[in-house]
Amino acid sequence: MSVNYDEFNFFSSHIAHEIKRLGNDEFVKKYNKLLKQNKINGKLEVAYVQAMIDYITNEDNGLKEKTDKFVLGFYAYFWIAENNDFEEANYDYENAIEAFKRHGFILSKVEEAV
Amino acid sequence: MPHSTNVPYLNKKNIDKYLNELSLEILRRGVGTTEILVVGGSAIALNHRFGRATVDIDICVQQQNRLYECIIAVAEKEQINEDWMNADVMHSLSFSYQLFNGAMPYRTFNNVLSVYTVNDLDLVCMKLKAMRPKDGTDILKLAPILKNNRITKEDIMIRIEQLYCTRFLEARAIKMLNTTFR
Repeated sequence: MSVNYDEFNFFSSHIAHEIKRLGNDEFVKKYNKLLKQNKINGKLEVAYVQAMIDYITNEDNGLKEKTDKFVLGFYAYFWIAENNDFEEANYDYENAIEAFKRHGFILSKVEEAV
Repeated sequence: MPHSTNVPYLNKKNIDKYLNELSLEILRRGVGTTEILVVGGSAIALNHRFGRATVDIDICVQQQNRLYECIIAVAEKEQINEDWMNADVMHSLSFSYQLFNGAMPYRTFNNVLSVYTVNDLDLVCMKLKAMRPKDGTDILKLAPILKNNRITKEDIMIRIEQLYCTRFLEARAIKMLNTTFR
């Protein structure tokens, strides 16, 4: 799965704003409904939302979508591609958040909206 | 955007439309002349042709007057989120009152709403402070423009010091600066 980070970063930012606007409970309720209705497009996006729901609820909700390959955070990917520098990727891997790892994302930090 | 939910995204076209609606609301309510400084993704959308979209318009204001009630009135009329325009960024680490000094006039709507945008150098400084994933992709797009205008890494550090009274940046931000402005 190749990741368009422009789109993915925008999506994760959108999700961060939705959490800020709705609060955790309403977010989980709304997005569980959207998932059931197949109203979120894209395997990556569905996996990210499922990971976020697991993260917020602090449990494995049995949501199954997973990226085909591990998806790195933008900076980890950028420095590997740009400089063959694995420092950020290694850090993210060692500190990966379990809820996201379960769905294929190697992220050590969850984006929050301002 | 291929992904979707029921939240409309903002781009140059509809930002102009909503700003115009806001100015009409300001007129209708007799709020008086209002100035706003647009920062973040909306500033990129208004000033560049990257096709940048955003989920909200981040603004900085020196005086609020009754701006918020006008923002909410536009939200109700246009059926968009009440926080479609907000000044939350003023509570973040990337905000500085010095940003007003570098503001660039964008447009005045109906003689009552003067809209300014943050300049590209200040925007990169803000993004180096924030360093969310989307800030990284924005820095990559803005860096060639700054370099074309002969802005150097040192110029950025000087401006960061002016904005935040310190040259401190987190390690990842320094790495990003070194990579993009080498």
